[in-house]
Amino acid sequence: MKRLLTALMSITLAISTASAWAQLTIEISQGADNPTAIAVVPFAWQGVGVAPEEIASIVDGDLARSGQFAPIALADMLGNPTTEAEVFYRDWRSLSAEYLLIGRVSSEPSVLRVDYELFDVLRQAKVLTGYESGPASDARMLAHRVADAVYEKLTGVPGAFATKLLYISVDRVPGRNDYSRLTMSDSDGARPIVLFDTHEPLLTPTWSPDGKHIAYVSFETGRPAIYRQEIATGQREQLTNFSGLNSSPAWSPDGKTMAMVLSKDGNADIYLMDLATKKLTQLTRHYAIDTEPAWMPDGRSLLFTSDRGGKPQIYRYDLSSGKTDRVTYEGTYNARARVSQDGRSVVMVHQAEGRFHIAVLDLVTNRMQILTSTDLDESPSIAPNGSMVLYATKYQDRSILAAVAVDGEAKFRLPASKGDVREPAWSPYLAR
Amino acid sequence: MPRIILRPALVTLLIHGLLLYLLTANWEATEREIIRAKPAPNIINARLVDISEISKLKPAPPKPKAVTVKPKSKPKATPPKPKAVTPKPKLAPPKPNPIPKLKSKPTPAKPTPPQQSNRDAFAAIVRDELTTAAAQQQTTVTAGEISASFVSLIQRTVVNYWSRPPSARNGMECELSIQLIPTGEVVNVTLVRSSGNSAFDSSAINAVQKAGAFPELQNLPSREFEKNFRRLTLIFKPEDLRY
Amino acid sequence: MKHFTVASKAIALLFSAALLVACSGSDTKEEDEAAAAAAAAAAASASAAQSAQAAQGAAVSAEMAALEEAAASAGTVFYFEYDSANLTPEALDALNANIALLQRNNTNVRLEGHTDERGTREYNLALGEGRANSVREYMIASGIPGFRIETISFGEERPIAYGTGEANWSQNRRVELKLQ
Repeated sequence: MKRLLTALMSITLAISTASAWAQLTIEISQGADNPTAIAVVPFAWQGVGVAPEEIASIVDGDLARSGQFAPIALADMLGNPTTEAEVFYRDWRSLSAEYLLIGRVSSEPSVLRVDYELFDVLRQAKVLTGYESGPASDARMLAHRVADAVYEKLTGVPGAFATKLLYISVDRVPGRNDYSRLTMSDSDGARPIVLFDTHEPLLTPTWSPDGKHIAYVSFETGRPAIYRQEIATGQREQLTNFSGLNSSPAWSPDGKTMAMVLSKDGNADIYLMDLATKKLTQLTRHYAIDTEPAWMPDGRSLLFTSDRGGKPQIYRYDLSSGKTDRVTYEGTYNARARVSQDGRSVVMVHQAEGRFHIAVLDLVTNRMQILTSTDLDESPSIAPNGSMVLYATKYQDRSILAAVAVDGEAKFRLPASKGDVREPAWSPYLAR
Repeated sequence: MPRIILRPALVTLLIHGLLLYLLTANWEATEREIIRAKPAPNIINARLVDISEISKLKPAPPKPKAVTVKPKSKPKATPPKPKAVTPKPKLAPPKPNPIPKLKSKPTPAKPTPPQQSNRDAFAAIVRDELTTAAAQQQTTVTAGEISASFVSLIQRTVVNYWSRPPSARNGMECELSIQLIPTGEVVNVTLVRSSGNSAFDSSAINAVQKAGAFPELQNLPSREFEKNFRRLTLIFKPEDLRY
Repeated sequence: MKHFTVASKAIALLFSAALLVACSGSDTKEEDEAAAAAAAAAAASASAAQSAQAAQGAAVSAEMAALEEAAASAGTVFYFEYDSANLTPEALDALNANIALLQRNNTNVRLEGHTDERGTREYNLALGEGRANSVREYMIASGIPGFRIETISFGEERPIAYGTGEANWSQNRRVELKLQ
């Protein structure tokens, strides 16, 4: 009997293990990609007097503008924890928050320190801790760095909030030429500083790869010329003085060469200038208009606009072979290409059915996607992390700046002052 | 003649027979059934229908393990319940769909009649064929079909809650093992195989955590629940990203 | 009598030539007679030249005034089609009137090329230059020397008409001729 029982038990075991092998496996191959709900709780101010900036609200704004996050409204928050001990996950779970960011701001003499902690509400665990410190006058930049750290932790992509923007602000002056101001601001439009101003046209502001210099086209002498300016000192240098066009400056990725457009030899062509020797090399020799050079991140080729085929399209010039190939075939007009850091996405101005949009072309799949639904869009500039595109557009008869995510989803407009704002240029990642 | 002890002999025979059966039966059961179907609503199943085919149309019994029912419908016919997987719903996504009826297999939506009049004729023919096929199916619902519809439900719910990070790429893959209880609640989520991208892994785990529960599973016969749904494996492998 | 006409210049030249011949120091009687004749002729032609010059001066002034008026009424702005640097018949008419005047005077000119706001700024800078060049090439072909013509492009940066729509855009697609 005992042997029978043992036998039966082993058989049952065998049967149950057999059924356990048949585990159901389900494949999930799509997602709805709703923004991630995050609660950014006001940081504690542990210094004396009034806090220099509302760090949490700057972080909140950065994350919201990226389109990846949906911050919980301040009014809905059930508590204001500033240390880990004060965190009750239940409170945040009830708001459907997935993540919680808390922090403390303290100040030593003239130095601000921002400590922060990020919690995963669903798993009830701390996932990130860190701090940023710097001069109190740069408190906004510290907040942007916190936002960058949170963004990178949760998306796997480095944040681009601690960056700067260049743009040209133009005001109409009755009885005089328009007044142009070359302006630099934070990535959210705050703290605008005028770097140069004139009553003549200014075009194509552009950054050096190290973020310390800028270049632009100015008509201050009555003719267009390319100028280079050091941001910290304001020191300027006129790089060109040729007859005809002197325009479209573009720094090579290694910072040693400036691509530009000159028409001194008959018509608009792309040239390279060695910044050390000022020696010129002519790249294109075509009777058509060749303009708007943009370097590929590996520095081995340049994209440019040419109407050699009749209407403006994007072409690529290979520096080693000297060959030119056409890149865009969709649409009647494609111009002013800018390339993402990974060399894969090209944003440009694209005309479809008479309207000018910003479009992105994937160089690997060759698929083009129109990103904007506004009309008369121009001057696209990609963030250094490739996530968003800043551009100029017409809104209520004025030119303003707007941004759209590279996948076309999130959109926002930058705070618009009076007058026209145009020609934005997003800085590279900035050294601390 | 030696005396044969009948009862022990019979038991021994039975045990040996059972062991033999188990040995052979085991081989089939160790293969995992991977439900590879994508949530139907976003796919338009189009098929060029030739008139000559219509008469040959036979009601195909659905395979017990298959989930996507590919209806032999006209172009432009969309499978039912597209709302659950609309991209960009509000922060509180719509509740998962009501319990699928157990009596009939999921019927394809009525094909939208095409514009040209000369196609109306065999649109009608197709419709007739399908309804007769459905009618014939009504009495032959298998346990597998019931499971299939619940799998589809879990799939749709998780898809709804999955927010892929910008660093996600097509082809990335992570595997989660989840544990459910008969109320449908998720009681455990474990990362079994990482994609190599921690933001991607977290997004998958969070998708399940946000879903939290699949209360419709309460309607599942307990035998089916134990067999297939107590422990589940989810493989997150996007195919619809830009690249 | 502001301008010395060609005729009066020629007469003066002849007169001084005669004078030189007369004063060359030769002492033949023939030369004396020639000198006397030349002097008489010169006196006669001088008065003739004076009246001729007056008449011609009046005619020239009238002609110039007519040319100036034609150019003024044609205007110094030449318009273009969208995305084109080709001279339209209307532009050519206006241009011809201006060229006719320029062929008779010495003024230097500056051609300023412009575009409407559509499209990218740098491309429009080059397109504006293309338009100014079209006008310049036509002027050179019509006999105006290149050194008298300066070109510059402002692209879309200096519109005449701010605002969207063809009514505004058509006013901005232009080359302006400015006298230096």
